[in-house]
Amino acid sequence: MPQDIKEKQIFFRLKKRDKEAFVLAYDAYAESIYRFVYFKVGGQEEAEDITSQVFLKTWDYIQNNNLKDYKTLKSLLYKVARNTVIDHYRKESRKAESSLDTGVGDINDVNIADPAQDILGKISTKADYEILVLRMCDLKNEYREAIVLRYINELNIKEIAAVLDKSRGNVRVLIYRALKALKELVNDED
Amino acid sequence: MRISECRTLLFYLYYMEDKELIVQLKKLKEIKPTAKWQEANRSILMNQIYSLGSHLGVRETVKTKLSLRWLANLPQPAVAVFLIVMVIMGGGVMSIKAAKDSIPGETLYIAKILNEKTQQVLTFNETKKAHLGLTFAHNRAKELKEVLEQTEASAERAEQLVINFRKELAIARERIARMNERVPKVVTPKPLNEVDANLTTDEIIGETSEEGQVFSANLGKEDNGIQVGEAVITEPKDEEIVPEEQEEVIEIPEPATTTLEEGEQDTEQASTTEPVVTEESAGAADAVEEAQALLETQDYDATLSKLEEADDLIEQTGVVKGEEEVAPEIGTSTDLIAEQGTTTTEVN
Repeated sequence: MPQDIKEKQIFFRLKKRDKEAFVLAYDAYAESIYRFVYFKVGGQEEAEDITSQVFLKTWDYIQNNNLKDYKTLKSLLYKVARNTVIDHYRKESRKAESSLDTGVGDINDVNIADPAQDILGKISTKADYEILVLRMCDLKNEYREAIVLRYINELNIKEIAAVLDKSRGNVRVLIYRALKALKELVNDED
Repeated sequence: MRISECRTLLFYLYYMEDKELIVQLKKLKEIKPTAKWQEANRSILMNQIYSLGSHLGVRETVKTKLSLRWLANLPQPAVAVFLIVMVIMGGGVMSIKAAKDSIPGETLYIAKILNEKTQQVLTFNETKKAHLGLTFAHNRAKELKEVLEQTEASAERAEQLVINFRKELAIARERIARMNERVPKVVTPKPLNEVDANLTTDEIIGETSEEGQVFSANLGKEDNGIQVGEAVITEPKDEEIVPEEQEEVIEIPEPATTTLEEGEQDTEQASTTEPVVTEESAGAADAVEEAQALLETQDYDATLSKLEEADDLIEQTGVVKGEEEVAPEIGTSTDLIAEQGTTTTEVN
């Protein structure tokens, strides 16, 4: 079954507060939400905690709302994730700031998901990966968010516009600028 | 190298650079939560979701069950039409109910009258029409009583109500008269050999006695020319009575030739086509007359009770009428046998 149809089915069932559908939604989106959160908070444990909170808050939202404002489950999940991260920053602003701004000096400070996964072995060279992750952390929050959504989690422009509450044109400009900024950072490193 | 070629080359290099960067970025997809955490978190999430669901309060559960969210899934024009129909129907029913006890001068009185007229138009049964007429006359009398009880009673209103009452009563009287104009079936006795030969005379006699009861309602109405039973039944002749010991086949003569004389036959046919007036309908007509007389004397309570009495009589008339229509032809022929006194003889 195509991914789009599957997603629509899950979303339709969620409108009826189907618990099993929510478990299916977790299976389908847990990784991408975790990744999105991870690049926002920069720590594995924090990312895991926040991801759990995101799914619980989403379920809570579904219970109390008719989901009329959302056309896709993806946009709902990313919006809840964004708001949860903002709440997290509000609570631990100093800690969050330090993990993003000062923690980029050493690759070990960026807690890559699971050492056992041997991520570094799967990408071309360790240097490229390190540089990219570090430079990502150097990017403005807004740019980093756009790059993660567009190139890592592979959302389309329309979906990103829904998540960020921006027009499609603004999203295109934002992505262009974000990519340009990242390229400059990577080139500076070279 | 031309400038345009230079530009293309630069664009290509820039684009390739972007491409490479995007490819590198896509590799960051490898960042995933651990499978262990994912599984554990899934279980926690499921537990929490299911426990949250079961701990919903009664209020929330009722709210969820009774909510009209299902309407959101229907096409909007269908929902709009459904709601409009519901409002119109609900409003109509409610206004009729509210108008039931209204009196002249009130806003809903017109709705009451319209409802009555509609009922009248939609009723086709004469008995029911007469019943409705009496009910409406009863309503007018009741309204008149209520209007006169009010301190600000308007003489005009009361007068109008008296006129209306008379009208309703006249209609009811007409209906009762129509009920009486009903033409009963012409009773033509059949030859006995057409009667089911398997029937014993005992069985036939049983039926005869019942039919006799049915027709008894019409007996004693000689003044109205109703002599259905008597016209058919004649005294048996001595030679026609078959003694039990002989056990012979009964030879039933043709009723037209043997039971009636030629002159009498015409009289009988004529008498059976005349209108039948039951005691109840006659009583109802009398009660209506009395009700009108009582209203003229301004005795409203007595008028109301008299109308109720007339109504009861009308209902009873309806019952009697139903019974009469069932009286079968076979009954008339068996009357003959009964009268002929062949009570124990078997019929072949």
